[in-house]
Amino acid sequence: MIQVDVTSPSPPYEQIRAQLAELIRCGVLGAGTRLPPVRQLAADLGLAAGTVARAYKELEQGGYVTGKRGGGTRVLAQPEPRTARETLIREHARAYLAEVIRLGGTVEEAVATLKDLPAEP
Amino acid sequence: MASVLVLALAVFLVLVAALLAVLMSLGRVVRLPPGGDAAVLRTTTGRLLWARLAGLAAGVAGAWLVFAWDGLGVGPMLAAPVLGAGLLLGTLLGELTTPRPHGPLRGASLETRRARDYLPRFSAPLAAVLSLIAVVLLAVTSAAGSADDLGRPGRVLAMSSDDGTMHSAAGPWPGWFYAWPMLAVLAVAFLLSALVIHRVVQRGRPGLDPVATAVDDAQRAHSAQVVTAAYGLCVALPLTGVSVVAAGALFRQSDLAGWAVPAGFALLGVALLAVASTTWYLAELLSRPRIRAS
Repeated sequence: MIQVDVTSPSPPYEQIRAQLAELIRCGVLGAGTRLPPVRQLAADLGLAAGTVARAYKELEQGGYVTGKRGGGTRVLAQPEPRTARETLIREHARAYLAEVIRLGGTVEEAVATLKDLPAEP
Repeated sequence: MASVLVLALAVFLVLVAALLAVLMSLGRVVRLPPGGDAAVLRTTTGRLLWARLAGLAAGVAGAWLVFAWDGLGVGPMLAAPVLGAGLLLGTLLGELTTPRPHGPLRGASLETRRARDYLPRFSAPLAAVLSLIAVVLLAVTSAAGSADDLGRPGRVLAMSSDDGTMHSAAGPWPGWFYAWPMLAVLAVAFLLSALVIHRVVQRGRPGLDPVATAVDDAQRAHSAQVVTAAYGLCVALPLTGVSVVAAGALFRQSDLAGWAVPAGFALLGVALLAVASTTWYLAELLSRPRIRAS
């Protein structure tokens, strides 16, 4: 799943690109996985098709995906996905913990809050 | 007498279709996963239903006008496709007016939705088979038909000798005079159906929780069922008429070779298949999935 915040200073196409790149780097989207069609993803997010098309184009230029006419957009093989995934989770956890501590919380409080959250966002 | 029999048969088939629709509705239960709120999808459901009913009303009005325009039988032949086209347009309108995702934070799953995920497994291939039969049958009848006494192409089945002298002619015959409007309307109905199915698959999801996804999938599948049924009616009902008329002409043409009678019975078999398909598609139009919370 990907999320787009239309009020964020980061443009929607960059948010889509960054999230998809992250999912590909950490192996959640394996090599050969087909990404949703541009129009479908754009409709699901309530965005213009050009926005998603730009994100896909930048992913293609970055070597994450390959797009063929009639064959859709597919993920290309990436080196060592497991290490990247663990690194990303650690980075997100560190950022979260830093925010909790900045707000005056403790490590125990941060862990308890995580446990109380539902599995699906 | 014949018209009374046709009317009685039509009423009987509508009753059978209504009974089938009840049985289908009872058998198609969508069980929702626990949690979530299906109420958020009521807007979508309402818009789809009202647009579909508006399309049906427009289709009935159009079919009535076309039916009243006789045109040597062309009007009654095209009435069902006009009705189906109205329903298809209504379904398209409903799909176009479903609420778009809004709000600052929007989410999407990375699933790839395909038309075959939603098209009915029996009705869609049946519609393809009926279309193929219709095209082949109209091609053959167009090739075999002759111009009538006023020069209208393919309106009679005539037997001529080598020097071009016509021995006998039986009509009406569903030759080119009837084939081209029928094929044109079927082509339009097919393109319209493909357009609606494309929209059904590509439109955005209203929510990402399991309940919203389950209800949304049920709505898409129901829309695809309506599209298939409307297109099926566009093909099946005129195919019934074409088969019966062609069989009648074959039985009346006394100069034909021995294959004419078996061919006539084969055409009656096609008519039977088309009538049964019409009843099935009517039942699919009348049925609705029942959505139940777990």
